[in-house]
Amino acid sequence: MSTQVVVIDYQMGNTCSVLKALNRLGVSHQLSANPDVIRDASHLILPGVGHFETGSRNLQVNNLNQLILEHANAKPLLGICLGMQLLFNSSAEAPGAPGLGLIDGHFDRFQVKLKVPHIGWNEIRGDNLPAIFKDIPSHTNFYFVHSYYAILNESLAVSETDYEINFVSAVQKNKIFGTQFHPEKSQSAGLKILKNFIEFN
Amino acid sequence: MLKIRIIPVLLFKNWGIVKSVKFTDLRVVGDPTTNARVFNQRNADELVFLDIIASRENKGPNFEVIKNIAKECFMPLTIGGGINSMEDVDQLFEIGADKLSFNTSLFHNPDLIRAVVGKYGSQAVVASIDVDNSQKLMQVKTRCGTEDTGYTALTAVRLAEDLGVGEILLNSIDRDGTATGYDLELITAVTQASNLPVIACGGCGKLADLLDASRAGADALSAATIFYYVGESIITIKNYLAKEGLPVRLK
Repeated sequence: MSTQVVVIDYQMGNTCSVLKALNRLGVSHQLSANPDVIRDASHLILPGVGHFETGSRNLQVNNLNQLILEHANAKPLLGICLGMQLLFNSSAEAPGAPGLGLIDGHFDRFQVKLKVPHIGWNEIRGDNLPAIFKDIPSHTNFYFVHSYYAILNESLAVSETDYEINFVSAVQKNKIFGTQFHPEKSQSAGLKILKNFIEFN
Repeated sequence: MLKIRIIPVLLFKNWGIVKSVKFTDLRVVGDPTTNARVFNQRNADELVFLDIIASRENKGPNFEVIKNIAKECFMPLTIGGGINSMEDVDQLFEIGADKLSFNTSLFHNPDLIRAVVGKYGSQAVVASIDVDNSQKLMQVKTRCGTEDTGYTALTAVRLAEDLGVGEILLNSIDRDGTATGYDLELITAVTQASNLPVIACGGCGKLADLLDASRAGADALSAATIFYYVGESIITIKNYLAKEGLPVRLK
């Protein structure tokens, strides 16, 4: 099957930077909410900036959530920032709003002395970085903007980052990946992550 | 550990990038797209692009130039200047802005700021606060430093917080382009009064100025003159700060 990357269009903030990065990588891609297009995707990206509740609600429109769940059974899926948060069961940002439940865990707000949101470049660390981190050493910096962090019920963390506490900055479960940071805004290391994801089967 | 961000500021007028002194005396220093490309290659941590003439002349953003800059930026890109309506806002996010910076609208159109925060989130909205501290009164001005607002730096920051803004771009009008160092007193006053991340801007002329601003409390350091007239680069700045023990992103 040829590579056809689909970025899910669910009206959550700015998707332009993801499309721009895919453009730079020269891969065939489109932004879509069309069920037929999503079903034909080889790789799905769930981007997102914004509130968990709006994200959760927008994924229920036109059964986008079902389409993502079907895709994730067999094919690679990458959730970025809010997109990663929506892979989980829930978030303290919007108690009661359902996530996709693909990854067993939830999100809590940072309770730290440092400023929240956590904005800027920070290092990821991992002893066993998975395929999407190919050629990216531990301690590489990525760009973060978020106020909530993952609490996992299963051991799916692949990298951690230090912001007064150590929090999970990337997860993997089979073909499902989530990054709390924004690869599309993380210059060459970020583009490498996207390239590795697209080459993952 | 979170890194101190080094952020070049591109000041745009008509078709070129300019550098000002005390918000006037503009000189052209280059082409916008080339500037963006070079700063991206050299691992600038973010880029700020401000159209300094748009609001004074009641013009909207120059979408064509901004689109070309955005294509070169695989780092967060902040756009400011002349953003007057939700249509401008939607279009700027659509063509690749990550954050929008507001100055005049903070004081003249706060409803727009609230609406942008509601639609795109606090993290996407920067309050650009221009402060004239030449009389030691921290007076906030707008329309490119030409109009008094009646606010001080501290009351303007409170206004920004109340509107839900996510970050402060703190500009010193009287230090702009003078290369005499950041206004440390201003940076300390604002960072102690607010929990919002503060990007310090205005006055950076040598490497030690960046260190001083960081120690005064700035979360991010922006500069222009030092890149164009002093000959320092993102790389020399970061190497210097790393040697001084500050957390910076070297790779």
